[in-house]
Amino acid sequence: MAQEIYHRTDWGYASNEWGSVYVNAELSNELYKRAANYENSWGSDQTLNAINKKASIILLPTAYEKDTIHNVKPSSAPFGDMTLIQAGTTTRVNESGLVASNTTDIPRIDYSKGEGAILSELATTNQIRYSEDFSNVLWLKTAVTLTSSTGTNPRGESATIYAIQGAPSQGGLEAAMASGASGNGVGASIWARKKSGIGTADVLIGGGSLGNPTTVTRTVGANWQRITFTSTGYTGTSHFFVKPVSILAADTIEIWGAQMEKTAAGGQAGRVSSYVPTTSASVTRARDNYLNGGDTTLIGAQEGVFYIEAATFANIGSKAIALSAANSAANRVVIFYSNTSNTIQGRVQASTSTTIAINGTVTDNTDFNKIAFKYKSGDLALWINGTEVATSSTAFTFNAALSELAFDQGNGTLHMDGFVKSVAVFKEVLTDAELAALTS
Amino acid sequence: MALHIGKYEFNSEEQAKEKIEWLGTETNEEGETYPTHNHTVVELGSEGTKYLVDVLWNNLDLEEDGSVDHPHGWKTYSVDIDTEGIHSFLGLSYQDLKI
Repeated sequence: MAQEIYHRTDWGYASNEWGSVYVNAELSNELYKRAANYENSWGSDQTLNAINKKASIILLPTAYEKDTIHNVKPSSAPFGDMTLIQAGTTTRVNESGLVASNTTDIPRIDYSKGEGAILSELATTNQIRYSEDFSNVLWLKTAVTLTSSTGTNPRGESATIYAIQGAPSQGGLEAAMASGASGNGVGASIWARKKSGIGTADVLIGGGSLGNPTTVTRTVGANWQRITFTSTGYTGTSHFFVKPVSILAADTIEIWGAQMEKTAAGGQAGRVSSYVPTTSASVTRARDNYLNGGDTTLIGAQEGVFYIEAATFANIGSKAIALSAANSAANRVVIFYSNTSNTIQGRVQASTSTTIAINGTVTDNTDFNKIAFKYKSGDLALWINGTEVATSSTAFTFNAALSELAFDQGNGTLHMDGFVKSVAVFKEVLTDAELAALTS
Repeated sequence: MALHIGKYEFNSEEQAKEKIEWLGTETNEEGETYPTHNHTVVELGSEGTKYLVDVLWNNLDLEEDGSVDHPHGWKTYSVDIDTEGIHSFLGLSYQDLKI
């Protein structure tokens, strides 16, 4: 089994030692030449190292600049890079684990899940006002004592840090949503840490009506961590809630960056996406729109393998990554996250009328899963995490050349909502052994 | 990418949803209905007798004189305020981008 990461052969310098190519950045590394920003090289370097056949496109969370996320391969034109359209600013968790602001149209490499991944999100609104100022009167301090001090916030900046200590009576730190849920799922989140002393402290976080929240218990230590609550279905939630489980002074917790977001559609479980800071108004972050990647010379016209390693924000709700002909659903190869929980679908739509869909199940769509969809007329297969989970022998013929890679279902709708760690496109089908290696 | 922000007060939630749906939706085999446009529509909910909606318009069609206008059926319900209002889009100013 080849252990040389094959895209490295396109670069002017190679070494037998993993990652050393990046240390020698002044050499002819095409990514360095093309990209204004470059990070996460070590993690990406070890991806896709087991396949002998050459991929025509490899996208890893490494190189980017305004408006563009760079493919690792090809390293010469046509690059097949995707354009990013993103309106307004955003935030991400950077390589140091700190919350960082991000300006318009800069792709985000986010480390929320511990490893760098391209962050592609739907629009969301933080319904909580004064997300960092818990002294504001909109925050109801029922059965908690609020104090403040100067400290380092999750951005790594010196700032006023608020702390809450529990009190015996029922209640907690609560805030009304600017617009309550009416059938929407909700996701609540806040950064928290134990204020002092050794060990950990338990924290209740959740949402519901005022004084009557549904909560989960999270455990925090001395370092900032984002704790979350997601509803399991639709809710009528109107308030955010957080409180230490213990009333002891030693279990006082510091908090920062509260957020409550509603799902766009009713009947869905809640989701927690990247942080949207607020003051006096609720604030909406616009959607990421990755599109117009690929090229007809880089995508197999009638056969190939489409591979992604990705995780979604929610375990339910359709979202997709696709290869398509001219940004149309008429001819496309799609990896769908289904509206059925724990379900991933490989779909070919050919010449408009022929649709072939094969499904596989995973433990959770919110985990990173390695998914390969082999497409060839009469020979389709969906591989997930090392196992062939579904096949089809249905014949098909594309009547237009596949030309575009996009983080949507191929026609500019059902955009990806989650983390993408890698994408690869092969212009020929791979053997079962290769598909197993690719997805293991 | 030309961005504009509009603020609207509809007479009811039903009226607002009708206008939003008019912007374009499709429904897939799994019964999910989703937008087919690139605008960001935020329903802020009821305020008194009105139902408030903010929209980040993305690449609206240009008029003959090069200006942009609200999509058909929206202008009647638009409001013009002197502040950013009760809702904003992260990193974007309503005062700078108001339609």
